[in-house]
Amino acid sequence: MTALAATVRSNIAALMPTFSSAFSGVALLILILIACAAPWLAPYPYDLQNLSIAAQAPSAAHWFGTDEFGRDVLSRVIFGARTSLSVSLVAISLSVTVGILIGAICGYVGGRLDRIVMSIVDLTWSFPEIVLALLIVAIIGPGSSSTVLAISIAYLAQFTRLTRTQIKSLKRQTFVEASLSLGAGPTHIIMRRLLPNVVAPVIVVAMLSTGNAILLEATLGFFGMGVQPPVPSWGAMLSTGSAQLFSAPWVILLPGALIALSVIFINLFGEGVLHALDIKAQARSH
Amino acid sequence: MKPILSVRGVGRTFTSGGGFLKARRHFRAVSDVSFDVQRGEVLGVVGESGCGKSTLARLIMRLLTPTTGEVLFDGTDIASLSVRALRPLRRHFQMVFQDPYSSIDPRQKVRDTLLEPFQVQGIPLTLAQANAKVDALLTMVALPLHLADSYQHQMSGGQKQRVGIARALALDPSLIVLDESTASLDVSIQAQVIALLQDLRDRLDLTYVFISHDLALVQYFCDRTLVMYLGRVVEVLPRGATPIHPYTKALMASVLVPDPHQRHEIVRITGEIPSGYDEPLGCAFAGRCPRVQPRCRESLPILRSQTDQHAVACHVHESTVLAPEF
Amino acid sequence: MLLTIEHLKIGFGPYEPLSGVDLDLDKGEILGLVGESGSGKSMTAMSIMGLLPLMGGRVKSGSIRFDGVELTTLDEPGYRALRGGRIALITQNPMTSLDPVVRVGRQIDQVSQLHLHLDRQAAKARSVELMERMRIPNPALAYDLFPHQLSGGMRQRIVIAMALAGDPDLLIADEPTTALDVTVQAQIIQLLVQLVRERGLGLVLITHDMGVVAQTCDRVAVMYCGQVIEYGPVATIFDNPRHPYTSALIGCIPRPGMLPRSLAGIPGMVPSAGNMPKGCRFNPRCNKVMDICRQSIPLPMSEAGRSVSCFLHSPGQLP
Repeated sequence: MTALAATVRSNIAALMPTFSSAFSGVALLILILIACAAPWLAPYPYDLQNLSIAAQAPSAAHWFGTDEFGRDVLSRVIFGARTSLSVSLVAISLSVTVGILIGAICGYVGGRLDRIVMSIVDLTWSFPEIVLALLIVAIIGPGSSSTVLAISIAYLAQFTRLTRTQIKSLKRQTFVEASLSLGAGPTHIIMRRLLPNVVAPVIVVAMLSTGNAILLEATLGFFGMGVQPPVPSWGAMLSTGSAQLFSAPWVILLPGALIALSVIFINLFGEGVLHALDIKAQARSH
Repeated sequence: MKPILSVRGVGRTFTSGGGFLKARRHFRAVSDVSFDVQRGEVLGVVGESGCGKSTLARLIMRLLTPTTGEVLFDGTDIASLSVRALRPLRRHFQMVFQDPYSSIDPRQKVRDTLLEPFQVQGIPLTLAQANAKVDALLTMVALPLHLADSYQHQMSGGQKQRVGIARALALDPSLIVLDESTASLDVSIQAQVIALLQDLRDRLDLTYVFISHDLALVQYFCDRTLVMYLGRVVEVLPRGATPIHPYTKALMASVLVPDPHQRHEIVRITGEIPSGYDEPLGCAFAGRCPRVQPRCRESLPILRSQTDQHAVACHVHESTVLAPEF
Repeated sequence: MLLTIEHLKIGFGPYEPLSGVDLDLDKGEILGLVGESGSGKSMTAMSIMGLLPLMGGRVKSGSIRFDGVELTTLDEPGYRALRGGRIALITQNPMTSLDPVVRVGRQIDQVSQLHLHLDRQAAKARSVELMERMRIPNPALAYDLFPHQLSGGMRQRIVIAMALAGDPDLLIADEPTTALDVTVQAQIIQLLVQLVRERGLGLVLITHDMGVVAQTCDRVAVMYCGQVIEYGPVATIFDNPRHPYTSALIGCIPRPGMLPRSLAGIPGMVPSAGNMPKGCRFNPRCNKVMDICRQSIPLPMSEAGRSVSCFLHSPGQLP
């Protein structure tokens, strides 16, 4: 095996230490690829209505049946993956980035800045996510942007607090003093000494939150606050499907199952990432 | 010869508490400390908890700013410099810390820990130069070269401490402050590290400020020793000299010599170190001193030189002829 | 003999933290158990106290006899009757061995009530008396204080009072002064010695400090990597150490009046649990090592009241 192949292999092996996390990682990748390839993979366009075959059970032509407007459920779910996955991933990424930044600065600088900023951040934490989303939708209007914003703000406090607490305790460690005595400034200390030690738990929480974010997006979609019809989202499909739970259960089954599976895969993969970031475990395996 | 380090009237007070109805409390960690350190000297600083020696170390290193006084490194007052002006000067004075476990970033390999000084100071190194530096530093502290790729948790306490010393040496400083650098090591490893420090001092022309609670070690290693009590220097003791201050005598008597034929009654003083918040009017040691007199509680004794190297801050010593007793 | 340990071996998973401990102690005597990190001295204390199962360890072989009772086969109820009562332990950090939410006086009471079956009044009186004996100023007032209101030295005195409250015959003190200031250390050590002499107790004093041993102990057992490598009366061992580790250890300690550069360390470092060298565990660092040292483990050889585990002084024995 060439040296490059060996390195790639050991890096991948490092990232996926257990079978479940490896399997979940691959499954997630497949989901993402499906979402990207939606226009080519979906058997029908997501908005093609055909009332004559409305609410039909699964058949050869429509593997997962049709909804109340005669649209193919499978195609709508495939396109819906785009919405749900992209919204949650973007929202969480935004939340993590801003949260780490604010948390690091507040934790390091402390004092009045810390108190003021954290009061504001804690305020967002005290709002239930739905109320927050409602507020934002009321201001900006419905659509994927407001969903992304709502989810980001809902999780911001969590990442900020997590980062801040760790930074506060880490900055008193002697190795920070050592860097200071070498002449290091706050940027070097935060970026090189503090954040790398803080980032591991934050990333894990981020992964776990992505699972929750998908649920939140589904909830917002359920209330009609997310992307507008006819663009499909898993949450909206749950919402309309729930009305036909007993008459046409297949409408709600597939999106529901995929939400659950996505969350499970993300959580399992997240555990693998945690293991990968653990330096002691890494060193032991070499 | 101009001293490499000159500390003049340095004091540091910490304030704590203070809220709506509560008054702020002031804690004088260090008060009115003055001394010079000559090039090539090993100066010891010894004392028990609350004496201010760790705070003094950080004041010298400008990790803390003095509330009063000046810290002159090679003639320049580093206490009053701006952070920017201070940075290039920092390469000349470095510190080795007490706790080997927390003084190295757990996510850094030894190699990166040793190269960080150059990174921070903005000194560019090619890959070849960097590797050469790392190897040279490891050799200097007698560590095997393969340790460069290890992490902190893979090394023993003694090895970690050597890495700390190597890091302090990276920028070629002239002064190194060692804050209880051997306190957490086994005795046999401590002796190794002390021998290494002595060797390095000879080879690299270093000056040390060696802080410790272990009087026997300090007497062995250091040319002169400052004895501190509650933030003040009570005695400056040259190597081999007999202590004069009652506190220093008590410290000396508390040293348990590993010789069963030299058993003596250990305890000289009773009581414990008073809290630093309630600072007494006169001599801080008056409450526990076996030779206390009324004058001691009224006014603060000043550090006065006995001989060229030996100085004491004690009223009793000045007023009476000291009978050999201890 | 109050306490006799013979060929004690303990196991923790695949490791053997103690692989050969032999020592004894009589009433009124102070035994210093000295060694550096990894030597197994705290493990020995845990073994005597029967606390190994709590930490996941077990006695593999050997015997611990306390006043005629074999401790290695004692069941838990039997041990519980002894602990705190006839055998008491003083640990290193008083802040963690005292309950932070119970007043210190009550904590001493509890020991008297449990082991001497005193009622509340009598226990309280006894506690105040013990605190007085420990030279705690204003014991009646101090009785009602919480641990965090006391200084380190005072807390350690409370811990010692608790240890004595059960009227023990054997006291084990595991590094009782390491966390204290030097002058306070001297006071506590002196107190312990006085108590032992007054009450005719046996004291096992565990420490890394040869100075403490030289100044206070009657006998000393030097441990390295889980074995007692030298044992005997303090004066004899210090004047004439036979094991190279013992003499090297004594030479590592700075003394007043020592010549500069005369402090020699011991090269190398203590091997970790999984990396024990073949043969005598000290052989990679020994300045008098011989071929047999790398092959076999020396057994203790006793004569004239002292013993040493070293091939320089005994015929070889295959493991």
